[in-house]
Amino acid sequence: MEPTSEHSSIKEEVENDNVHRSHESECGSLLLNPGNVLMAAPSVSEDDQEVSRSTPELRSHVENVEQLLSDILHDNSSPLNVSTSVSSSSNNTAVDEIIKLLSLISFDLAKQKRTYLIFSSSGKPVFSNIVDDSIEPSTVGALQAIISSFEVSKEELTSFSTFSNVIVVLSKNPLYLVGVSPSTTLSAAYLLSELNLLYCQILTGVTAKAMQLTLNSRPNFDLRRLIGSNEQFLKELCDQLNDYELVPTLNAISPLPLRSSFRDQLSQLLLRETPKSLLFTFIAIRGRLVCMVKAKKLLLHANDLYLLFLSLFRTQSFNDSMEHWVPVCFPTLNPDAYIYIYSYFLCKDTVLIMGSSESGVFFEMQSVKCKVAQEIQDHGWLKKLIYCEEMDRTTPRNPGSPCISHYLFYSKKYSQFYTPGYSFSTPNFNTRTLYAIYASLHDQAFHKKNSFSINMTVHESLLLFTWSTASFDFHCIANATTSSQLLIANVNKILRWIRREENRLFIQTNLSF
Amino acid sequence: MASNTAPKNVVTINQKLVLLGDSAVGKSSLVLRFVKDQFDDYRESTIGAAFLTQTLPIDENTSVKLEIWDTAGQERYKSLAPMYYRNANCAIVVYDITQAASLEKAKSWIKELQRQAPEGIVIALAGNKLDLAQERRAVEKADAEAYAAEANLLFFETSAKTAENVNELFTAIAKKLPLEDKLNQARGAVNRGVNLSEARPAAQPSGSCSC
Repeated sequence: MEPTSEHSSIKEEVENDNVHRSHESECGSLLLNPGNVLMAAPSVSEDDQEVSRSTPELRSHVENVEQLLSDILHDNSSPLNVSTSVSSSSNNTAVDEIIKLLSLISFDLAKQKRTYLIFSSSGKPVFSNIVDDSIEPSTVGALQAIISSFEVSKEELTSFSTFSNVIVVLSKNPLYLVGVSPSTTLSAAYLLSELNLLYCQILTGVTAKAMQLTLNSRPNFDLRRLIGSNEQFLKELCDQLNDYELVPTLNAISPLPLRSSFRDQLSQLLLRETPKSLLFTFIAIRGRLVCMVKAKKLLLHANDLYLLFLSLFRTQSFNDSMEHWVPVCFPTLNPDAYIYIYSYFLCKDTVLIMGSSESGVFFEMQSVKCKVAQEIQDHGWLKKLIYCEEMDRTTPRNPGSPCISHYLFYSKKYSQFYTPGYSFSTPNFNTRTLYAIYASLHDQAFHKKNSFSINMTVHESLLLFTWSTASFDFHCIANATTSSQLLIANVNKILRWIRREENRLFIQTNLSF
Repeated sequence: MASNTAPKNVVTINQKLVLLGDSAVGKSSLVLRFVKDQFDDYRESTIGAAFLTQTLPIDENTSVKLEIWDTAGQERYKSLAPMYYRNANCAIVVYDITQAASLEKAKSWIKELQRQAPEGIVIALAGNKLDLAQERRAVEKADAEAYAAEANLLFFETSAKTAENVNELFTAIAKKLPLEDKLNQARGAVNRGVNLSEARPAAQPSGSCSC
């Protein structure tokens, strides 16, 4: 089958939002007129001058790091001591600054944990993330009574409050899912989307149809027997939701940044091996998507991929040297059908995944795997992938914007995001605070009616900035004393860098067969 | 892992083996002990099925390459079992000697195999977790052994944890397999300068990777 490609560009999308290039020499040129932007706090001129005076030195330093990193990434013969030096230097600069800022502030969301309960329409407990794993029958009874009273009156209950908690309810016959959150600034819609993910996770193992059939024929059936081994995945999912893991928060995937020529080589390899029964193939490393090819009309959604990544990279069920053949439901794609997943870890953190709609084609998939694995081994691509992932995680390239401590770029077109130093693993305390901030900013931006908006908020010593357009959201964190003019100049610099690097940062081409 | 260093005059025959049994009786632990000589106390439940291979010498001229399907024991995967035993040459049905209900489940699997699996499939009944026999035995060996004898099954009590009787279990299955016809074909092919094993398209998992 002739491979085809569909290509569209973040660059074009950004330009459609009236973003124009500006020359470096035109220091007065801005993408936005700062006079139109209100600071939430007054600026102090002395601090402005202080920041301005320190800018050239920091910019020069960071840009040197960027140049060295670029040299290393493009020249395999660079000596290791240079790599070590750059790694150490960049780590100290980036990590120390973030830690310093985040450890100085208190962010309420970062201190909170939500409780999730799932029970059946007959009132039987199905799952909860309460540590002692016991749901008081009276609690379930009370919740069921509240939910039922609303159902009787034909009102849809989605949330209600107690003195100290917000409780959200998602009804998915035959299940009720309940989230209990300390009083919070997160919207009910955000919390409901978390419950929806829990519901989707259950469906990955059983399909909606199977669950309905089971309960229709056996109304008192204990659903825990049906959910069975999904419980380990539900627990991991609850942990990630409570840590504000960015993939489910944004409903977006994080691709591993790679030179597009290298990504193309890998994609072409996958395209050469496409048996008739194949729906899609991808390679992922440490929860980052490397490349994917798929059948022409197949639409894979970010949250279906996320649930697969969760089981691949956050549990030990598949991360061994065995080959796995697993029926998985992709609820957003089709809640009533299984896709059969062939899973094989090429090495400890790198997986090859193939999906088929047919249950009896394991050995065809195995044959493809052998060819792909051999080719990857012959070219030494696995080592290269491991190196690229480690470099991105520990010493990410960046455009050198000293007054902005950290940023996140979310592409709505591709459902992908980039944020420096991202890792799919359990975050430490400061990283969790960072993610909580981004979750809060995303939640606010997501529910704005306007497709274009800018918001700046001062939170203690931090300036939190969001720029939302039809094609992307950009969030960043700066020192609260940063002037709006300087902030916007640096935001524009980062956006220009992202546009320049979009081929590397994002998977733009959906190769299909 | 599969042996790639067999001398040229050794004939290797591929045989498909499927493990069946209730959840948490130790099917995956048995396979892991047999193939990798490892045991993991906190192994997570198998999802779907896992596939791996191991080559086992029978005598100085013959090896059996077992292609092993380690299936999930949860109830919701029961309907998938025919996919794995449909072409199987042999099966191990596992129960947990500390759980009487798991033996009943094993008997149910054996009846299903006798009805629906290929005729002549070699079946072994394995009572696992023998290391817990002193304090927690719930199934008497004699009872299970009598059932196995009546049904013409191989029978072993095993411990994946201590490795007791694990190799013996797989070796006994391999030796009971009816290989004469395939051996004659293979040896005839070898004598004519063709290695039947190499001619098979069966692919192997790749060897150790570079990381």
